[in-house]
Amino acid sequence: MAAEFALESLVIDEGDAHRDHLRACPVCRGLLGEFQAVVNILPVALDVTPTRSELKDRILAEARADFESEVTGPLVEPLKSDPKFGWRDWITLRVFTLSGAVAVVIVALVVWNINLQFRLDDQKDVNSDQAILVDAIADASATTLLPGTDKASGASGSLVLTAPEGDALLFVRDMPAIPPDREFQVWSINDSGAASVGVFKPAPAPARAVAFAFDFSESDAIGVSIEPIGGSAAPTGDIVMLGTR
Amino acid sequence: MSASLDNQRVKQAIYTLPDEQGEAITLTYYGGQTQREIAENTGVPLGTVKGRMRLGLQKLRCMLIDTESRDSD
Repeated sequence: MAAEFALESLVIDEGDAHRDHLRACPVCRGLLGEFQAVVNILPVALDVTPTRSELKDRILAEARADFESEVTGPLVEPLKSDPKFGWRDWITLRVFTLSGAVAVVIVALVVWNINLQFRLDDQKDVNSDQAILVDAIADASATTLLPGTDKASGASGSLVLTAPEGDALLFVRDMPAIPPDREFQVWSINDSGAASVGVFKPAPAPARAVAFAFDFSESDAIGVSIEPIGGSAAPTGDIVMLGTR
Repeated sequence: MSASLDNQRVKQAIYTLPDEQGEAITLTYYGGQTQREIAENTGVPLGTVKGRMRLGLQKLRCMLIDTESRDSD
């Protein structure tokens, strides 16, 4: 078994058993020496491949180098630090950065607050107007219905007094089409005649609201006629809406 | 091992061995197979493989070491 032992062709158990035997057998030790001398020559037959021990050492060295490069290599690219930029500078920079951020937030909050205030004021005005309008509509005496005449049977409207001093809103719907050189004129009518309240142009939308400032306390009826641009002193065109108060 | 044992001389010695002995030594030393693996792969009894290894090494010794000793004398 000395030949197989020298060639390292024994499995582990066999090799261990023979190694134990060699300790007690000088004959086998001598034989092993002879075979080992031959085995030591065998690597010379290889062209470039190193001996087993050299190959083992080289593989271990490469594995160790790979392991060390993986373990000790830089995990994160180090920051390029300026040697003149010390830790105090970092603190100063952070303070400035923080202060700047706080200032930006404060300015943004102020602008937002102002914007909200304006929107709130606008909403208050709208709410106030709506409240007045709702009160006026609820008061039947403040509203004058303006049905369409035979000249504009599909039209309808209502005049709502929104203030005791005479402010009014005229709501109209489905007004008739009129030539470009014409517009609608609103009249306050009583026994003494018709007084002009104001004019308004037709709108693309089927419904619209027009505000007027006029004292309707003497009005017995409200009418809307078709008049030339700028209005007339007295109704000259077709009366399209008429309602009594 | 002498420096005079060059690559070609060792190769020639191995090639000179009988095929089965050269095969056993080559598969063992250069192929890394155990004697049992050689026996299984070649279909030869294990004892035969052992004998081929022993005879092969003995012949190589004669061709390489003993000859070298005579040459050096």
